[in-house]
Amino acid sequence: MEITVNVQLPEDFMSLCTIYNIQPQQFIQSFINKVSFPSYYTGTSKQMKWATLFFLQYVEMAEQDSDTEYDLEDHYLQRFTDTLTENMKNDGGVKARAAVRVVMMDWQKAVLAERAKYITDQL
Amino acid sequence: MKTEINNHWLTIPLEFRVACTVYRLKEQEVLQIFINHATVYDSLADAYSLGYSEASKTIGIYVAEKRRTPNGSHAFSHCLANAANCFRWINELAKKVLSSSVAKRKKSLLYVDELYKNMKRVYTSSDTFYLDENRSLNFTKDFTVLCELHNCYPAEYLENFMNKISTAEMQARTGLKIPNDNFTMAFFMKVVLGFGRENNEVAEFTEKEVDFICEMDEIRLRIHTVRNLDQRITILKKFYLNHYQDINTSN
Repeated sequence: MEITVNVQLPEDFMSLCTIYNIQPQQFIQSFINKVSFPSYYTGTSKQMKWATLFFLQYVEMAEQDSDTEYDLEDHYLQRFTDTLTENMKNDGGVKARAAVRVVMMDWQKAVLAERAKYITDQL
Repeated sequence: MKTEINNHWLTIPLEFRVACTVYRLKEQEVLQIFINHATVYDSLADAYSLGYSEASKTIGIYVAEKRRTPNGSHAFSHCLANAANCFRWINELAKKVLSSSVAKRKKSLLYVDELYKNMKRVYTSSDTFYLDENRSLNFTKDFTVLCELHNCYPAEYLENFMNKISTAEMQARTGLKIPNDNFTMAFFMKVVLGFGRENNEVAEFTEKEVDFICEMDEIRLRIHTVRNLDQRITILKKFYLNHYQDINTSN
């Protein structure tokens, strides 16, 4: 999926990009490529973890005033953890990654269904 | 048959050892601070006093569960009237609204002194308690009176205190936003921040400790997916234990 994002480029970020000759767009792309529960929780690579950790920290800070569906979160995170333990084999996490990705998809669907409820309930 | 328990020997729980290692505290120092802040006065007072309330109420809850004194305290049985008076005066002090806690606690020492002098020691044979050849604790008059009053051995109070200390449990609760009503742990965390400690200078972190702090930061976030309190505690316990073993094998 591709969308157009408008962001403010802060001065410090811009100067770093200039100094190291980095396209902001590419940088942001490479960052968000690494934000992933399936990869982080099955990953062995230390390089991969920072982006997801940043995400987790962001979620932790934002938790109080966000509209997260906590019941769903509890349920699906539990499923996530269980699926992970069941599927972690000595294959570098390939099987587990696929399995938890399914959980994430289901979770996403459930959240969307929950948020659309107020419309469907009116029908 | 009566089981003999060695009441002059302290079993230091692993979780307590781990907590002290994580926060670089001496076990002996933490226990001594606990002893210094457990007073008869604060067991009776409702007003909150930093540190004193937590320490005294930790003992209060323990003795309320044990109920060892259906027939009164053994140590005071020979001087009941006098002892009762002392406790009554301390209680009156505790209920008085006007003066400050510091002043009232100081004044209560007068009566604690009297109690200490008159009691026939049953549970506290000495004011010094040896943890091992090199480390010892000193009991205050308040602390020994609290032992004798409730027919308890000092080791019981100390073990009960230590058993309530668990960094893993505290962390797990904080992470899941489950209210934490463990005020004994709160007391410990105050000590971590310097409460009651003489030496506040911070030694340099070793490489292992720096690694540990980074890992601690990560694991806190990583366990976001674990929503079950017990599971979280298990994971964190293991994590802290690893650090503890790591530190202790290197020394």
